[in-house]
Amino acid sequence: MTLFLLTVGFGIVTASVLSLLSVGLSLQFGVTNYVNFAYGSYLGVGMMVAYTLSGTFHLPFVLSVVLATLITGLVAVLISEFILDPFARRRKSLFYMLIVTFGLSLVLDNILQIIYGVGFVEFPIAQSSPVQIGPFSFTKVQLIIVAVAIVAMVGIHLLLSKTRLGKAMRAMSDNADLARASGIDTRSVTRWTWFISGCLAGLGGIVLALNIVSFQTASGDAMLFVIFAAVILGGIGQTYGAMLGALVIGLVTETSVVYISSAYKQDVAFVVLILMLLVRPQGILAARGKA
Amino acid sequence: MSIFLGYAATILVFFFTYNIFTLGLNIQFGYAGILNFTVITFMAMGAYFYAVFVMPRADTANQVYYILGLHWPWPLAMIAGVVASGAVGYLIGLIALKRLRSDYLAIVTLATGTLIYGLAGNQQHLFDGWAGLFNVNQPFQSVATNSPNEYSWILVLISGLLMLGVWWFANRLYSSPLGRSMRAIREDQEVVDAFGKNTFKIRMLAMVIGCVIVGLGGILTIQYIGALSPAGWTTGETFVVWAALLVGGRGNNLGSIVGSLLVAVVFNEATRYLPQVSSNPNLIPDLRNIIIGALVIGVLWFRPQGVLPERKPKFFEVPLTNTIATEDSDSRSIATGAGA
Amino acid sequence: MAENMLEVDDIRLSFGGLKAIDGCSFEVERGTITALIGPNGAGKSTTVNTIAGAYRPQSGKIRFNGEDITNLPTYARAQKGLIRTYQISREFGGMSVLENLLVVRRGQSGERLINAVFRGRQSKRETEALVAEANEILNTFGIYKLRHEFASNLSGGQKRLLELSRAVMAQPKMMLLDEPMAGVTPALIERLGSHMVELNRSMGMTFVLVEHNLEIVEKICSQVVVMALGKKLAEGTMAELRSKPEVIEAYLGGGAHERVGG
Repeated sequence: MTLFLLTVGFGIVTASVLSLLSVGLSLQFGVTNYVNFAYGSYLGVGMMVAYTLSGTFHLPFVLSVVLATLITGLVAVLISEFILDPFARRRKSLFYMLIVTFGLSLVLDNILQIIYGVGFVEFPIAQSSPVQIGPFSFTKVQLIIVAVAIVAMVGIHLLLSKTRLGKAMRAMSDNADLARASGIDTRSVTRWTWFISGCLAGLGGIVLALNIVSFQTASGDAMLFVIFAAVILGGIGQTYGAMLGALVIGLVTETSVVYISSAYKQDVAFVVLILMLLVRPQGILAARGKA
Repeated sequence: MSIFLGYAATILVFFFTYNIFTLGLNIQFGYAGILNFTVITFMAMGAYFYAVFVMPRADTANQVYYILGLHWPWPLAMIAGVVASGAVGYLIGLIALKRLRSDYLAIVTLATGTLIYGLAGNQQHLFDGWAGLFNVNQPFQSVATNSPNEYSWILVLISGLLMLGVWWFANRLYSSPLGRSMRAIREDQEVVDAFGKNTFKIRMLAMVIGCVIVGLGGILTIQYIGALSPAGWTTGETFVVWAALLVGGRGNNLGSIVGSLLVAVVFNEATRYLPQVSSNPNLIPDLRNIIIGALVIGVLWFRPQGVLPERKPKFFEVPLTNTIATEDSDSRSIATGAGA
Repeated sequence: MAENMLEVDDIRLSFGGLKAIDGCSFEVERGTITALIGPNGAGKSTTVNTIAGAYRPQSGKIRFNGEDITNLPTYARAQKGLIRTYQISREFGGMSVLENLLVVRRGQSGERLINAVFRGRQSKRETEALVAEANEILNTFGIYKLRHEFASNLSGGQKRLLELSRAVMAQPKMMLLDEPMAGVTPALIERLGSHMVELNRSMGMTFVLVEHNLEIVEKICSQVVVMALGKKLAEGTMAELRSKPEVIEAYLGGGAHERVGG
C-alpha cells in the first residue's frame, strides 16, 4: 500500500509534466487542425537551451528556464511563419502537413544532435532530499514541478476564458472559416498559438529533464507518444481534455510500476492509447466534428 | 577489377531493395493515402523473422539469444518473414484504419514503431537485443563460402528478379479496379464509402500488401549483409524511403524507381565517402539526415507531384453508339458560366 | 399500385443540445421525384445525411424497400442501391473523369486482389464494357470530351454534371441529391432537371432532393415534403402547398416567402 501511494505521488509529478506538454500540443492542434510530429524536438530545444544557459553561460537557473521557455516559443513561431503556415495557407491536403512536420522532426533532432552529441547531461543544480507530505514523498524539485504545472494550467484556463486571444483561439478551434469570416485575425491568432505551444513544449521539456535528472537531445522525442496518448485520451484538440488525459496517463504509467517492471512504464501509455482508439477514439471529452 | 565488380553488385542489391521499399510505400501512400510513418519497422520485421526461421537454435553458450531458430530452408523462411511483416501491418491496421482521420494512423504507426524498436533492443531474448542478429544464413550458402565474388551476383539476381516481380504486381494493381478504388479512397474516402465499397477492407489490403513488400525488401537486406541490429533501422531510414517516394513521384511506380535511384543510391552513396570528422563522428550521418528531412519538405513545397508525376491511365477507346455529340457548345458555356 | 420505397419513421438526432432532427417522418413512393424543402436550418441536409448513413439517428427507424436500414453502415446502404450526392461537389480530383465513373460500379471482379493481379484478361473485358457504358453516360451529360481530364481541372458546373453522372454509373435504385442545383447557372439547372426527369421516366429511378430553387421543384417534383425545425411540416404537390398557411408561415420565418409566391 505504501508503495502504491508512493507511485501515486510520482504519478502526480509525471502528470504535471505531461499536462504542460499535452496542453501545448492540443492547443496548437485545435487552432491549426494538424498534428505537429516535430513537437518532441521542441522539447529537446527547450531542455538543451536551458542546459546551455545554465551550464555553459552560468546564468541563474530560474532565469535560464524562463529564457529557454521563451526561446522555444520563438523557435516555434519562426518555424510556423517560414515553413508550416505557408504550407497550411496553400490549403494542401492534411497529408502534406503531417509529412512536413514529420520531416521537420528529423531536421531538428539532428541539428540538436550535431550541437550536443548523443551523451547524457544534467542541469547544474543540487539534488534535494525527499520531503514527506502525508503518505507521499517528493523532492523539492518535484514539488516545484507540480506547482509550475498548476500555475500554468490556471494561466491557460484564464487565457482561454477571459482574454480576447483565448476566445479567438476557441473560435478558430470550433470553425476556422467562420472565425475568419467574423473578422478574427487568424494569422495573428495562429502566431500566438504557436508561441504558447512552443513555450509549453519548452517549459515541459525542461521540467521533464528535471524529473528524469539526466537527459539527452532525444529525450523529448522518446516522450512524444506518451504525449499523444494523453492528448487522444482527452479528445484531440480539447484543451481541458488534454489536462485530464495527462492526469490519467501520468497516474497509470507510474502506478503500473507496482505491478510490472518499470522498463515497460511507457508501453503502458501505448496500451492505453490503443485501447482508447479501439473503444472511444473521440476521447473522454468528445470534440464535435474533430474525431 | 573484382573490387569494382563487388561494389557494383552491392550498389545493385541496394538499389533493388530500396526500390522494393519504395514500391511498397507507394501502394500504401501513393495509392491508398495511408501515412505509414514507420516503414522501416516492417523491413526489420521481415528481416528478423526470416532470420529466426532460417537460423539454427540460438547459441546461448555464447550469450546469443533469439526466439525460434527453426533452421528452415531459406525459401520457406522468406515466406515466414513476409507473413510476419504483413501480420504486424494487419494489427496496426486493425487499430488505426477504422478511423477516418489520417493523423490517427500516422500516430499509431509512429507509436508502434517506437514500441517495437524499444522491444527489439531491450528484450535480449527476442532478436538478440541491441547486438542484433548476425551470421544469418544466406541462400545458396555453399557458393558463398567457396567463391564469394560470384556469390554477390546470385543475390543481385535474386533481388533483381524479386524487384521485377514487385514492379509487375504494383503496376497490375494500379490499373485494376481494386487499385482504382484505392486511389479513390486517397482522394475522398467518405465518398467511396457512400458508393458501397467497404473502404476499411480496401485500405487494410493496401496496408498489408505494402508491409509484405517492405518486409520482402528487409529479407533481401539481411540476406545480403547477413546481419541486422536496431542501429540499422532508425527513424532516419524511414525518411530515406519517404524521400525516395516523394522525390520520384507518389502514385507513379516509375517515379519510385527514379526516386530510389536518386535518393537511396546516388545521394546515400555520394555522402558515404565524405571524410569523417574525428571530433564529431556523428556529424556526417546527422547532416545526411538533415538533408533528407529538408529534401522531403522542399519537394513538397516546390514540386509536390515529384520528378515523375502520377499519370492518367490510358484507356482503350470505345466508340460511342450515340454519336450525336451533345456537348461542345454546351460544355463550353458551362465552363465559363457556372461556379459552384 | 403505389409502393413506399423509403420510409423515414420518427427519427431524432441532436448535436450537443441542438435538435437537428426532431421527430421527422415521411415516405417516398417508388418512381417519384420527391423534394425536401424548407427554410435554412430546417434539418433537410441532416435528414439526407442520416438516410445515407453519415449519421445514426438517436431514435426512430429508416426503412428502404421494406428493410430496416437504420443501423447499417454507409457502404451497406449504398450496396442496396441508395446512392447520394453532396452539397459541395466531391469529385476524385486526382483521377480522370472517366475513372471517376469506373470506380463507383459495385461488384467488379477486379476488385478482388487475386482477380486484379492474375486474371487480367477477364478484368480487362469487364472494364472495357464499363468504359463503353461510362462513355454513354458522359455523353448524355455533355462531358464526354472531358473524360481524360483530371476531375480537379473541371469547372464548378462541370463538376456538378460529373457528380450526377457518377451517381448514375452506380446504378442507384434511389438517388439522394443534396442541393444539386446549388451555385449552378439557370441554363444548367434546366439541364440537370431534365436529366433527372429523363432518368426517372426511362429507368424508373426514384429521386429525393433537397432543393432551395422552388421553380425547378415545381417543374420536376411530383411530391414535396416541407421541413421546419427538424420536423415535417406539410407535404403534397407544390400547388397544394402554396395554399397552406403554415408553409407560408414557416418560410416567412426563414425569410424566403417571396420564393413560395413564385
